Amino acid sequence: MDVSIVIAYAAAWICLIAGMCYALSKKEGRQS
Amino acid sequence: MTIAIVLGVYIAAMLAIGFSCRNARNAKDFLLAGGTLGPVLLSMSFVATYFSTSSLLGGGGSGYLFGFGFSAYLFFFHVLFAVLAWVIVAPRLRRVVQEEGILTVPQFFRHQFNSRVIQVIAALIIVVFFQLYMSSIYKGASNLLEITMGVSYPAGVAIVAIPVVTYTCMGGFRSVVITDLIQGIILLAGGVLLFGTIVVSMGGIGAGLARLASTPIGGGLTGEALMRLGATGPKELVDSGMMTPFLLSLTFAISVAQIASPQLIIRFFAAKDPGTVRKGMLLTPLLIAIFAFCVFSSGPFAHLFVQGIRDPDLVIPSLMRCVFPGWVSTLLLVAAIAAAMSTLSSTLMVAASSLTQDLLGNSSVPLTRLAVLGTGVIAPLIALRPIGIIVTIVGLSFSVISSVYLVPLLAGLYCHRPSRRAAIASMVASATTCVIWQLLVFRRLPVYPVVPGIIVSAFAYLSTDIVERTLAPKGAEEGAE
Repeated sequence: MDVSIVIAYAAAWICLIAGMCYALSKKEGRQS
Repeated sequence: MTIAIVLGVYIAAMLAIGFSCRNARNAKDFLLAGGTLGPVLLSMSFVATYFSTSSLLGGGGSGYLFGFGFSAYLFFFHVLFAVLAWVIVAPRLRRVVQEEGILTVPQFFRHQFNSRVIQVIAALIIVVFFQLYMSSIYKGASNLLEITMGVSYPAGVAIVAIPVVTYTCMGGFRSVVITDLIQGIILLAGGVLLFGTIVVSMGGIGAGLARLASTPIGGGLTGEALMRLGATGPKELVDSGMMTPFLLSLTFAISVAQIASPQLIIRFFAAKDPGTVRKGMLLTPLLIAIFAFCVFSSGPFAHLFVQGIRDPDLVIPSLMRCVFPGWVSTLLLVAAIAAAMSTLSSTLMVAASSLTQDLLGNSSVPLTRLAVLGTGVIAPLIALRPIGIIVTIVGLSFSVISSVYLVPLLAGLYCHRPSRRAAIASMVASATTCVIWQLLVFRRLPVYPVVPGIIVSAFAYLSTDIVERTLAPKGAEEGAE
């Protein structure tokens, strides 16, 4: 498999996790 | 016969939902379900509206033709723009529209830029280009019904159009989001079931990749070519080395719609409170990632199950028939029709509200229902007589909608004093660029018009804004139009 394809798959999951962390941090920030 | 019964039950359920939501009290109730949506309804509605038949059939089918490079970048851009839409656009947009009592996207532009002209341009683009967009969805869904049920093409259009227009007309936005919830669940379950079954029957992803690498895929190539970016596709593009720019611009053009399409961002208007948006920020990108990964990655693996398919739209239905028992593939084909219906009803709702609220300036519920009926008839009529140029027009309409809305939307949300002249310049410049690019440049340079459209739009906005600020006398304020 091309490295560029593996990077795209990995970048998608990283982006998803970063977005979810941001959403969770906003949630915690509001509660505190 | 089985699919006719399942589809009949499904359509009856959609109509029952429309009937149960028929008591809208005012325009906000009819257009935004009273602004009372919780996170699950909001997220599922966003997902179901975004994924249409073309995502399910076209996304998977194009992966079959273009390989894992297409699937991976389409997956990446889907997740990226889902996250950006919910992080950058949703919270601010919801706050502004709730504070100001705004009901439509063109009304938001009017408020932020203090300009009736921008509202009219935005509404006209919705009313005109959405008809073309909807006609392509009708065409895809009717072709599918033609193949799977053996009905005639016009009957297929009617089978999809009549329930969609009826339940949208009766129940408005509330019926649209509740039907979206059901359609979204069917769609997600179908995508996960499809990919899961493929993986199990291959003996795992690693074993499947190993087998695929040595499987002939036609044109003297083996599956190994599917694992290289830009190595499979139309021969002239592969030979000229233009396949990679084509794939990147195509996957970008499809995915960027999430951040700027009126039928999607209108969902943020209907969020109950800021907590709903935060929960949606968590849930929606996750659902989009799961569906996109499963469906788009199924395409290249389909070579192990079905060979020699030239029409990409037939790959997923053929794959379903191959790996599932008859009744399961029937349910999944209904999922594809559900995908079409959810996108159609949401798009129809936005087109009708733009006509009544923004162009006619009338917010009565009966008139909006009449507009749903009126605008709902046009797209099926266009779909009944599909002309050759329709593929070009649909590609163009998608590009125009995304590139015209994106820059003014972000400027309206984030600029301290957004400029109306800059917004008009950016809208006109991006629409013109998309049309010229599609008609004159695209054949020679296969980059989708949305990419130059957004670049020109941003340049036009910034340059006009800078010139305006430079020339304006200090302390001068813009007057309303």
